[in-house]
Parts: sequence; C-alpha cells; structure tokens
Amino acid sequence: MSGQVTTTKSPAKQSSAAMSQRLGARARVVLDRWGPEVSAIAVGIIGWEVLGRVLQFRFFPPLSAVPEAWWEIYQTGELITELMMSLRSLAIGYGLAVVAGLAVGVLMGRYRKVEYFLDPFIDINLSTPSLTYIPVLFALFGVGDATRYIIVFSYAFFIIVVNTVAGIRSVDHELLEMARSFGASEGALFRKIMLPDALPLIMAGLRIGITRAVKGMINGELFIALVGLGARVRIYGGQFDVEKVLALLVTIIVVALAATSVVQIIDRRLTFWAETVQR
Amino acid sequence: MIEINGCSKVYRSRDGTREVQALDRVHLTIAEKEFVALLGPSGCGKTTLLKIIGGLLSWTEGDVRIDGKKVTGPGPDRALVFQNFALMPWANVLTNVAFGLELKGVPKEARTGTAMRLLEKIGLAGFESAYPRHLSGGMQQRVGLARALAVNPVTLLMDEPFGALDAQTRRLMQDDLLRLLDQEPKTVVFVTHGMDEAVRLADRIVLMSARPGRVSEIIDVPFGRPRPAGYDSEPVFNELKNYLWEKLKAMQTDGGKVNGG
Repeated sequence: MSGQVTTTKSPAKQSSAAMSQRLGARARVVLDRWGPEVSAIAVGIIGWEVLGRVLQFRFFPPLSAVPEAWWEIYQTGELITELMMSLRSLAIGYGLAVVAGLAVGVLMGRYRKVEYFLDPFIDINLSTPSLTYIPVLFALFGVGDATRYIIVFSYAFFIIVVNTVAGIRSVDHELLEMARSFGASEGALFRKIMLPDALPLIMAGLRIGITRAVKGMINGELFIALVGLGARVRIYGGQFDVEKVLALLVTIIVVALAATSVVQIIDRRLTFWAETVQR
Repeated sequence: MIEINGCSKVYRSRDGTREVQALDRVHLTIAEKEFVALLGPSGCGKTTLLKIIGGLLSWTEGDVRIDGKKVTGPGPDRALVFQNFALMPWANVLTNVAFGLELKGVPKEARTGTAMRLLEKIGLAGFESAYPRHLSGGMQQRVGLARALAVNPVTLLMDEPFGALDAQTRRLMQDDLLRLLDQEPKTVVFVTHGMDEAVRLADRIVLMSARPGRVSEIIDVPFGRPRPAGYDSEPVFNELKNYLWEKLKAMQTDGGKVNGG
C-alpha cells in the first residue's frame, strides 16, 4: 500500500512543496519505526568505544581495535574456514531438529498415548541445561562432527516439539467440525485444517529453535570441538588475545542475527494472516 | 425427507460416571423444501439435533433417516452454516467458499467458477481475494453461506447463523436468505433462539424444552413464502411472537434459560 498516496493529479502538476511535504511524512514514518533501534545501536557502539578508551584496560579494548583484529584473522583465511564449519553444523543440527521436532510434535499432538509416553523426556530435557550432556556425548562420539551436530540438535529439538504439540492441541474445533461436515478425510483434516491452524505456534517454535541452535553451535565448539568459531574463541581466549575474541564475537552475532532473520522472513510469509493488531 | 423417530441422545462423561440427557425421544418429520426452525432455550438440545441430522454426532436411541436411508455421517446432500462462521483465517474468501468443493475433489477451475458465481449472487463480488479478518461479521457469514451453497446441497443446516450479528445486519441476512431460497428452494433446518427470526423465516416452528430436550410443540406459521408484503405488521405476526414468548418464559421459570445456544 505504500507509494500510492494520491492519483487525482498527475505527478507533474503537483507542486514541489506538496512533494517535499509528502517526503517529510514518509521520513517521519521511517524515523518512528527505526529511530529507537538505530539510536540503541549507536549508544552501544559509542559507549563501547568511550569506555574502552577511558578505562585503558587490557581486557576491554575500544571497539575501533576490533576491525583490525577481524581483518587479521580474515586474511589468513581461518575466519572463513571456521565460519563454514560452524555454519555446517548449524544447518545439519538445526535441520534435523526441525524435521524430527515436527514429526514428534505432530505425533504427540494427535495421539494422547504418545504424548503421555514422551512427555517426561521432553519436560526433563527442556529444563536441563544441554551443556551437561557434553561430557557424555564426548565419551560416546569423541570430538568429531557428530558431537557438534548432536549438540546443536539438542538445543533446538525440544522447544520445537513443545511448540508443535501446543499448536496441534490448540487447533480450532469448530474448523475441524466444519471440515468434517464437508466430508473431509482424516488426512485432509490434518493437511488442510490442523497444520495451517497450528502454523503460527509451530513457527514460533522454529524461531526460538534457531536462536538456541546458534547457542548450541558455539557452546559445543567452545567446550569440546577443535573446529568452528567457538573453538577459535577458546584458543584466542587462552592466549588473552581479546581483540580477536571480540572480532569473533561480532562475527557470531552477525551469524545469529542472519539465521534468525531468515527464519523470521519465512515465518512472516507463512503466517501473515495471523498478524496481531498493530501497536 | 428427514425422518426423526424417537431420537434420544445421552452424553456420557469419559469415566462413565455422569450422564446428561440432551435429547429425549424426539419425533420430527421434515418435508423436502420445507423451512423448519428449531426454537428453544439453551440446553434444549436444538444444536445437538441439528448436528445429528448433519451426521456429526451419533444418537443413543431411535432412528434418523434421510430419504429412507439411515444417517451414518456427513454427506454431500447436507451442508452446515455455523454460528461463528468457521472460516479458515489463512485462506482468502474464494478458497473458503470453494472449500467444500475442494474436499470433494472438484478441479480448481471448476470450483473457482462455482465460487465466483456464488459470491456474485450473495453480494460479495470483488471480495474474492480478501481475508476473513478484513470482513465484517455479516460479510463473513455470507462467505459461510456461499460455502454451504457451493456444494449444492439438498438441505441447509443452519446453527444460529445470524446469532452473532447485530440487529440490522441480521434482518438484512434474513431477507437475503429468503430471497436465495425463492430462487433455489432447499430444505432448511434452522436453529435459533430468536422468536422474531423464527416467525420471519420458517414454515414450521419446532418449540423445544430443556433438560431433557424434547419437542414441546410444533407450530405452523400462517404466512406463505415468499412472505406477502406487510405481513410483519399484521396482528397475527405479533400474536404468534407473543405466544412463543409466553411459552419460552414458562420454560425459563421451570429452570431453563431463554437466551444462549
């Protein structure tokens, strides 16, 4: 709906004053939306820089020292290599968590017995810090790729299950009755009513899942793995090379933001119809 | 023809300790193209009876037949219209209207054609790509009605379809429904708790009493369809409404409530 404000006059005949007034209105809308966010980031950046310079503290360098360190690890090629390793474990671990989480969640949502059987496992794992499993996984799978994938998986899987169950559970009974009255088969009920109606909650699970998966990716690498961004953080941390640690941290933040935005964009496309009232 | 013979319905709680009798030996025969209103206080089982006819609920005793065949489930000869519209919020108007046809496996082009024709007929042309949440209550129920008509059923089963609408919209919808039925006569079973609505629409009014749900009286409405001009200012119209009101009031003092579903 943006862009078209009036069509009564041809653009050429509109006075430039009215034009600039309209541009001003647009700018105000943009400012209202993004102003607070941009200023928050600006405050963070300036605060970091000022604090770093004032404190003169070895372990808290000003922000301006970070790009240099970032460029250093970028040029040696290690940043990209480790980033790729990390992203691969994120993609595989999260991908498996989505597929398995949806399947288990749907089964639990539809069949009471399955739910009663699996509920304890889900509850226990949802509230236990997944990091506690790392020694066990380490013993079982060593320091290989499998351990990293499983850690990412375990961070995201349970929350996806819980949200999928909630979504399937909360399906509108009137819609089910409506579909039944028009002769829907069990399969059609599931595909045409249950899944779409549960989608907003399912997507919420996938959104929380991706942020957890990123945490799992880094935690796994920090604690055991020899590869990935997290492993590099550990190594540079051990050498007290704070600038490089912070350069990696910034990279991880970018990865996390990018991954969550991808899921968010998919979510908005699929569940635009469930949008709540604007504030 | 719909034949309901001594139909009873008992709801049992899951553990079997509590029982609620919703319907008690209901007898009712509905002729083809007849408009029957089920009127009664909440808890009189009128919606239960409607859903039994629709094949969505089973009964515990008696017999329910349509054209001599026992009802075993929903069928293409019947279509429901719901009190709260029951539209799919993720689908646009066109998809909602065509939903019954989609479930029947009608190819996309054919069902789109049917749906567009019905939207035109029901006054929603141009709204086919709108989503339910952007429509008023009255428009949403038009979509619900169009969806039911799209499968071309013999019988329309309407569960307090205009109960959630404001008074003016309700009157407009009532007139539109009668107009549609003049063009294309159908059997209608119409659940309502509105006395005015029952007298305006129905050929016969089945007055039901609550706990357990029973047919207490069947009243012939003395107006033909299409309704003659000015029928609602005739004394008979108000007399009938007052009669129904007295009956319902008496039931309320017996412990039932007049309002609600």
